[in-house]
Amino acid sequence: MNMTKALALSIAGLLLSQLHLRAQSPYLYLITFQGVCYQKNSSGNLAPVPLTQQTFLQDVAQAGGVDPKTLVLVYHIQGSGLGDTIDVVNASTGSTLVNLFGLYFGDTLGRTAATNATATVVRRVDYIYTQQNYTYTSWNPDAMGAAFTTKRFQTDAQGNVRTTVDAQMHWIVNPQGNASTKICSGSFTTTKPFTPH
Amino acid sequence: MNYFLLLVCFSLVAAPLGARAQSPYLFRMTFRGDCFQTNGAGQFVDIPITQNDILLAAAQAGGTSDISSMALVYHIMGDTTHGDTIDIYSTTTGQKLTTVFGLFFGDAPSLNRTALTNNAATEIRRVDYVYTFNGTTYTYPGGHSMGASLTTKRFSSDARGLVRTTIEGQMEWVVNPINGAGPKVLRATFTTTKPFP
Repeated sequence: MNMTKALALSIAGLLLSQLHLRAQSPYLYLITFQGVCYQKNSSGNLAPVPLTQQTFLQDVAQAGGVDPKTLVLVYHIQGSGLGDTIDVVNASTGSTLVNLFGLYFGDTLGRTAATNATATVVRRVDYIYTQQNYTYTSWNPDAMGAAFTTKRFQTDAQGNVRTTVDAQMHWIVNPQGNASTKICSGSFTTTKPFTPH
Repeated sequence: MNYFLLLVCFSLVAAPLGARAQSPYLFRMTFRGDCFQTNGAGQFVDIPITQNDILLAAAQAGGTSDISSMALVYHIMGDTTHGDTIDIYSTTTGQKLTTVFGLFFGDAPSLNRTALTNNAATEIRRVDYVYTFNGTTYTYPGGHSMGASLTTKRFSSDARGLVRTTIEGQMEWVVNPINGAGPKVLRATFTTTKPFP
């Protein structure tokens, strides 16, 4: 291999890596969550229970018999064929344990998302689907709530796309066992791309 | 004379009973929110809206800009089949002019969605689908739900048995492109104030 060919290959490799970076923007993001669920207490009154991302992780960990410290809550762009999801994943392997929420159909089924001209901001109202029975989600084939979702995409000088997603959401949790219906609301923000460690 | 006294006593007893049975089902309301849409340059702008903007949009769709004799009204079971509505009423005649929003299916066994009610039945929390029916600046005549509302209803009785109702909601909804305008994504809060008229 001569120098000219090697140089050409190196340049091609650099260009390809840049293209790869652009094409392979992260699709898993850690999220922070703040919210509240109202449910009936033993006196029959409606009482609030605060929610954070840790609440979901502890709930899933307890059900699965694993250490909550091994789990993280992530926003998963195109986590399913129907749209984005909020998942509990293994922090070390990145494997998905539970799909807690599906945020679907914000730009279909008679709804249109709003996007700015540069396609760097998208606002939409998604249906919320919950497809697992946990303390704060209950299985239902119908939507259980909605999310007002904003996605922002910024591109740096290297062509890397930084994505942030924030939303306000509210959803129903149907009665399970001795627990009453819960009516939950909260907001989340993505922080940084998730990489298994 | 004894007969007259008996009638007076009866009317005194019957009046509060009538008040209990005829609890108001129409309530004036305040409405505050934000409408996100793109401007002529394709950039997102946030336009604050109030109940007057909702009234004006509906009035303009009907060919007038005079909202001086209109009120935005929360109507309990405004749709006898599906649930509560947010309507526009004439303050002059007391007649309903149009329905702006339907807040439906927050407690629909057919969709496996349940509301949360305390034992005393004085507080109800639910997540309703939001339906819009007419093409105005802030509503789209969609057949699908266009958003959702986190709705809380409270009922308190005074010493005379009169029920005071307050209803508040956080809602978000989509307005699809119509009449040359791009899509809009809105969120708002509302609170009932006093019975209408």
